[in-house]
Formats: sequence, structure tokens, C-alpha cells
Amino acid sequence: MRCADFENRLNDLLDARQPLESDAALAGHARACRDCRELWTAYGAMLAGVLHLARPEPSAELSQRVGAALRGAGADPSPCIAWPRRAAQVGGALVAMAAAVLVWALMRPGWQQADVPADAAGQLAAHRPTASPGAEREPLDHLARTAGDEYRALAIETRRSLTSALLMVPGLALSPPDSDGGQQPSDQPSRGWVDDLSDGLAPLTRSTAVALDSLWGAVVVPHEDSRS
Amino acid sequence: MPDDVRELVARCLAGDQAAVTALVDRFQGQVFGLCYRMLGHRQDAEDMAQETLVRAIRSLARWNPERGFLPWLLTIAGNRCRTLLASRARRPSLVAEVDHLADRGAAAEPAGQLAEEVALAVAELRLEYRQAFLMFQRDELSYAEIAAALDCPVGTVKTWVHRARRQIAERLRNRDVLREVPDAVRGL
Repeated sequence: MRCADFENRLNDLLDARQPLESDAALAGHARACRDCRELWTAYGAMLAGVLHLARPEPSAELSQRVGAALRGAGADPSPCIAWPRRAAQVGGALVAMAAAVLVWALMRPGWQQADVPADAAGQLAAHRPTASPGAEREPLDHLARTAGDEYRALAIETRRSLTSALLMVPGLALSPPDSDGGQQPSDQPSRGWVDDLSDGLAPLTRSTAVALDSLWGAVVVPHEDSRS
Repeated sequence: MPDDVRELVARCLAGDQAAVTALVDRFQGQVFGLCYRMLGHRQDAEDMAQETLVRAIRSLARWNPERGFLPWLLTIAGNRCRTLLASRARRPSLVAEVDHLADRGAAAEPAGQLAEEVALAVAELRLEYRQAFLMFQRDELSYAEIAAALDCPVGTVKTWVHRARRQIAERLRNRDVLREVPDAVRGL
């Protein structure tokens, strides 16, 4: 037997689940060849070691759990997979409901008159897209300060969300809260981190205003035009 | 396939609850063993073993008796485990596997030390090699059963097992473990 065949024959023996000693030719070659004897011994040690490895056993409750799942009428047999799937379904339904409520609120007849105070209605009207593309619009920040409560809350919340999101953007040169240790030079006007962020967010605020305008023009204006 | 399994299945299909329990008791260890090999996590393995057995028993009418019962069962288990692995996007933990490999109570004896060395060598194998090796050598599944469970050709499983043996043997040689191997193990 050649040494090159030795390992293949050893594997054939183990594949057939036969003891190593059962092949006389293999044992004879192992006695005569030092390298092959080492391989033989290593394989023997491996087989002996494997016998002592602990076998994973299921808990005593497994068969009871299977029985309970089989008895439960319509019970889902896959608790750990079913939960995320169910959660996704519930989450999807909630998102769909929220979207429906939003669309309903925007399309509702008399929404502008009923929900927006009279002094804010004018501001909102001024902010809507106009026929002349070059017309001046009030910045969203200004609108947030002067519009009605609901619109103000929406604008503030939007800005706060954007601020929170931008704080997580790595490399963005915005100071986190209290990064200066709360110390301000006494001869300078007090500028909090929110103001710094607000300055940093100015371009984004403008693009948000443009996006809101577009939404307004696409959804609300045609609806009002059709009503009139 | 043994006739007693065929008979058990027939009794299950006839609504015999005792037969269902007997079938579960008979195969739960092998199903759990496979799930544990694939997932490396005891609780996940129990959940998948439960799901596999429930699905199999509910689908007994679709089982083809020409095909062995165990390979059919292991194929279901393998599919369930792959689905779970895909959903959680992480592979079995090596630590969990190593913790359960060695029989630590026997570590003081020479055979126990050898088992520990083998356990460490097994733990260092690539996941596919480790699964195939342990399923063949310890769980005593056939190459066809392993191939069905792991969803790969029989030739691939053989290659994995052979490579696993070679790597374990090399590690044992490099660790100088072979000098302390009892004569009974040498067999020459």
C-alpha cells in the first residue's frame, strides 16, 4: 500500500463505520510506516474522543410542548417565528391607519377654517404656492412663531425631529447639548445649542418648506379647487 | 425503513394519541440534535424541534413511505433552521457549541482529557465541517440524511467530514496529544 492511499482507505473505513483494526492491510502499513502510524493513532484518538463528547439532549418538556401544540385548535406551532410576523402585521396596520387619518385630516371639508385660528389662516394662505414663481414666501421658522397652535406644534415637532436625526449624523459640525459645559461668556448674548442647530439646519428647513408646499399643492389645492 | 415506524405512522394517521407520543419520543432527540448543530442555541433549537415535529405530524399524510421517515423529518428541521438563520442573520455561536461539547465531568481522566482536546479541535472547524462531522461521527446520521438536512449534495458532505477528520488529526498531532493516547486506542 502506498502512503498516498492510506488516508483515503482510512476514511473509507470510517465512512463504513468499521473499526480501524478491521483492515489488516491498513494496520500492517501503519506498523511499517511512521507517518502513517501517527495518522492512524490520531484518527483512533479522534474516534475515542468523539465517544466522550456530550450529546445535546432536549429538555423533558419538549414532547409535552409538542403535544400541547398539537392539541391546541389552530395553535401556531412556531411561536418564535410567528411573533415577529404578527408584530409586522400589526405595525403595518397601524402605519396604514395613521396614513389614512392624515389623508382624511388633509382632505376634510372646512379643515382650514375649522382647525386653524383666523390669524393663522392668513399666514397659511400666504405660505401656499402661488401662481407667480418668484413670489416671496415666509420662512417656515417665522411661520412657526406666528401661525396657530396646531401648525406651530407641527413645525416645531418637525424641526425637533430633524435636529435629533442630524445629531446622529457622524461628522456633522453641530454642537451637542451642553458640549461647552454650560459656560457662556458673560459679555455675549446667550445662544443655546438649539439656536446653533437651528442655524445649521436653515438649508434643510427651507427644503422642508418646499416639500410641504409641494404636498399642499398636490393634495389640498386641487381638492379645494374642485369644491369651489 | 423499519416496519415499526411505518406502523406508528399508520396509527398516528388513524388518530391514536399514544402513537403520536411514541413517535415524538422516538425522534425528538435526533431532531433536536440537528437543530442544535445548526443553530448553536438551546432555546432556539427546542423551538425549531417543536415546530418541526408539529409540522411533520400534521403533514403525516403527505409523507412518502418510500422515503425514510428520519430523512424526511430532518429535511423539515433543516429547512426550518435555515429560515430562522436567515431571519436572524447570524450564525451559530461558537461559544455555545464549545460549552456543550466536552463532558467536563470526565476531564480528569485520560479519556476525558482526550475528549476535551477533540472538543477544542472540533470547535475550531469551519461551521459546515463541524456540523457534518458531528452529525456523522456522533449523532450517527448517514451521509444521505445529513445531505438532506443541510440541503447539499452527498459528495459535499463527505468532503466536509473528511476534511474535518484531517484537521482534527493534525491538531491532535500538533498539540502532542498522541503520546498520551492509551494503547487500546492505538490498536496496533
